[in-house]
Amino acid sequence: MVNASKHSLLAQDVTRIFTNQFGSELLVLDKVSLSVKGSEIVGIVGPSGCGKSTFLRLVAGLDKQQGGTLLYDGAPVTGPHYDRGLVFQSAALFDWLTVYENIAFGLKARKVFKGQENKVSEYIEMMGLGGFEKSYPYQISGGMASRAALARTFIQDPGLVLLDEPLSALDAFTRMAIQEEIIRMHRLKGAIYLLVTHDIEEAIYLCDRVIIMSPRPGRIIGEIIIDLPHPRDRVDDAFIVKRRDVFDRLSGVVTEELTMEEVQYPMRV
Amino acid sequence: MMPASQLGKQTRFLPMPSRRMATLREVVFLLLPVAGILIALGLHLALPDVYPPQYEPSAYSLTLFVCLLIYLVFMIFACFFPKLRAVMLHLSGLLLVLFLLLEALDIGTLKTGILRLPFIPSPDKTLSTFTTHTAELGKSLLASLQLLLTGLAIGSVTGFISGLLMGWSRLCSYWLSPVLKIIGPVPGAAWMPIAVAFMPTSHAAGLFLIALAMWFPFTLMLSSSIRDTDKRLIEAARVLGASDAYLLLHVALPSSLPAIFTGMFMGLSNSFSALMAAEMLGVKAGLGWYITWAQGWGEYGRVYSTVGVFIIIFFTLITLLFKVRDHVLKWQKGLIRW
Ligand SMILES: Nc1ncnc2c1ncn2[C@@H]1O[C@H](COP(=O)(O)OP(=O)(O)OP(=O)(O)O)[C@@H](O)[C@H]1O
Ligand SMILES: [Mg+2]
Repeated sequence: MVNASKHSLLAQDVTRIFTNQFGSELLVLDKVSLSVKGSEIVGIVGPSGCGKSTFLRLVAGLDKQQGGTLLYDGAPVTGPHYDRGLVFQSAALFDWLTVYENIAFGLKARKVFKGQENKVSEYIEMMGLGGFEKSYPYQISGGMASRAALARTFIQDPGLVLLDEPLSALDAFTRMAIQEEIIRMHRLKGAIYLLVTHDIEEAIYLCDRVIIMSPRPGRIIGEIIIDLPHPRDRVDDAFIVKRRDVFDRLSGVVTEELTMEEVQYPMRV
Repeated sequence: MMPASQLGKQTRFLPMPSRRMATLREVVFLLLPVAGILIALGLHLALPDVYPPQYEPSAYSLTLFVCLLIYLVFMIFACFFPKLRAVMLHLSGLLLVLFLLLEALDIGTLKTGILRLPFIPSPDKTLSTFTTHTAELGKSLLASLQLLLTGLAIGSVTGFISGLLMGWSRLCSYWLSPVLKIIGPVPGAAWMPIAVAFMPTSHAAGLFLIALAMWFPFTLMLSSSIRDTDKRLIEAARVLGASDAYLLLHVALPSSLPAIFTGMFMGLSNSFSALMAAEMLGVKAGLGWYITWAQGWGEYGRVYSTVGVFIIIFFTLITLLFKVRDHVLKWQKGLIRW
């Protein structure tokens, strides 16, 4: 049973316009509204450049929207906070810190590290990083780096976890293995997860629902509830039906990018 | 051209020894410098001098003899310790050539008089500086080291502070960058007359020059590196709960360490010429001053031996800095080797 969580995220008509150095404006997010509660895992899929990362950055407090409101636990988002963890598209580990120190970074920055040494070791074991504590980022594989980046966020017990294509750079097998870790972590701690991904299979495997965004300007144009029981079987009929659902919704709106994507990860029907 | 198999490897005279005990082949290679020393010593003692020296000539043979003893001690250890052996095997060819060249110089000067005095003194004459003018040389060495190290310390500390301020705060950058851009690139020697005029003592002027030589590249490298800190890392730290101060000290600063070392290497090389300029143009002590003084008297032997001391200091300082850097930057791959 998933741990109960009382957190909530409410986005209402969130709009983000970028202005370039010549003053011309680019509407990236157009009135995006979304409400997530409890311990839901919500997938966000959409063509490249539609503003998925931009949305996550707004929720993380790293950027400011021009219009609309963003409420986390009922309070407006004003800046970054460790309760809203963000895992980047690239692992973004600190090169000068060992895996252990990277994972302990947040605790140390918040001055709560003392007495938590065991917790760090525990997360290292849980994320399958045992034996690599003393390695520097250049000494570990891409998969290990993703695991370390996830552990670095999970160890802070965030109520909201923002995952921006955390596994996109990995091979299929590593990706599947880490997907299991993510599910395990979610069961253990329970939190809202927002997962941006280009991999439809990943979205359906992990999420409770999948949000579909339009090409820029990004709008939410659909939502598919994935009510399949866990553990999910990737080649099961119901799973493939969901895949086709998401795929059809996307291909209706999408340009070449998606077709490229599907060439890379062909459906196993 | 290097064969492809050699790319990325450190150049070595012989392959890295793997066994604990030295092999016969390795011992033969280790003995090369010994042969060089013995040849030099033998020729030096056997051949007659062309002109009778005004002093007891002994410095050259003494030096060779001491070198022989030290080398033999090291060699015995090298037979049992593979790491030391690797280093010595690497050096053996170079040392052999060094001693042979030294003896060639001895023959060209003291033994035949082919090379012209006083500009090319015999090795014996040059080395005799160390035995006959030990006290003056020692005093000059201490004065130079004191000036150099104090200046470097001042330059590094001020460079660290101003680099940090300029990298982090726009306001500091606005006010300090004109200073940096205008006075930074001016070479040390050009400062000396001004520094002497404005500083209370010539010693203080020398300190100013050396500190400046270190301060400029240090500040430049550190401030630009802090300003260019990877934005992703800063954001990653922010979402993990880092405050501004924590970000500066635990993200911007460590990620700038490679740049700091680059700045320090540049500063160190600059500081050597600043030291020379200071001591030749104002400061009345130190090795640079001693060189000028010896040159004035046409004592080229002393000039060369003092230059030799300089080289040893510079080599040691640069090597030390490389060692510190290799330790501090062990998280970086692909460092430049020294
Ligand atoms: N700081 C910025 N300044 C100007 N434009 C930006 C900025 N950040 C993003 N954009 C623009 O906003 C749009 C959306 O970018 P975003 O990174 O959110 O896309 P995305 O949906 O995450 O794409 P991908 O799937 O390729 O990661 C892009 O067209 C991008 O050029
Ligand atoms: Mg993105």
